Amino acid sequence: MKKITLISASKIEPKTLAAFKKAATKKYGEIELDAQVNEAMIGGVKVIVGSKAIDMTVAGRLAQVKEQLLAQL
Amino acid sequence: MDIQLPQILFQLVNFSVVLGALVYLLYKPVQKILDERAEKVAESQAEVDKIATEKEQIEALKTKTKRAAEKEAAQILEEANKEAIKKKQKLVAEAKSSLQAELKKAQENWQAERKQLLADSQKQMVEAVVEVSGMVLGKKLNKTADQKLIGKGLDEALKQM
Repeated sequence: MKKITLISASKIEPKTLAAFKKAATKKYGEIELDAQVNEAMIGGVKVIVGSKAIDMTVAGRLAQVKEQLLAQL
Repeated sequence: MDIQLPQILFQLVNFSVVLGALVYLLYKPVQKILDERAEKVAESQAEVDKIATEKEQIEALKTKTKRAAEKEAAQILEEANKEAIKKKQKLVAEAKSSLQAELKKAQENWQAERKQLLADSQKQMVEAVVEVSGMVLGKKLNKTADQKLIGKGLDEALKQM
């Protein structure tokens, strides 16, 4: 069973969570979904699948943009 | 009419004396004058022939010199033309080379300026992003905007998973 952790600044709406779970199940089969709230975050969501972390938070995205721009200099 | 021998003899002697005087006094000086004149004419003719020969030689030399001069002039002209063509080619090559160098320099300058402008604009953009990030990091999104962002984030995460 694949464990997927979702970390967001506010609680994810059940409808959104159900749609994600459905899509993830279709991809990985049976999954264990753990939705956590971190109020220190600005917004967006961070998805952790096994050892892989996909940062879709506002801070993460800004950091990515900043790194990309700095790399081009 | 009787033939008188003494008279004939007298006439004969008389004629001989007149002839001798004529020969001595007239023929010889005239002959001398004629000889001298003939000699002068011959000398003059020889001089004329000599002058004519010299003239021919001078004409031949003149023609030869003229041809040589013409040949030399043609050669000089040809060499001058060659030199001019060579110089022209050299000048054209130098001008071309100079132009290419100028063009290359201009392109390099343009590239450097472009690069510098790009770097400056990127730097400004980064500074702007960093500044905006700093402003955003200190705030919180409202719930609706956050849910929308979460939805998009999950869709994107599903693609990357």
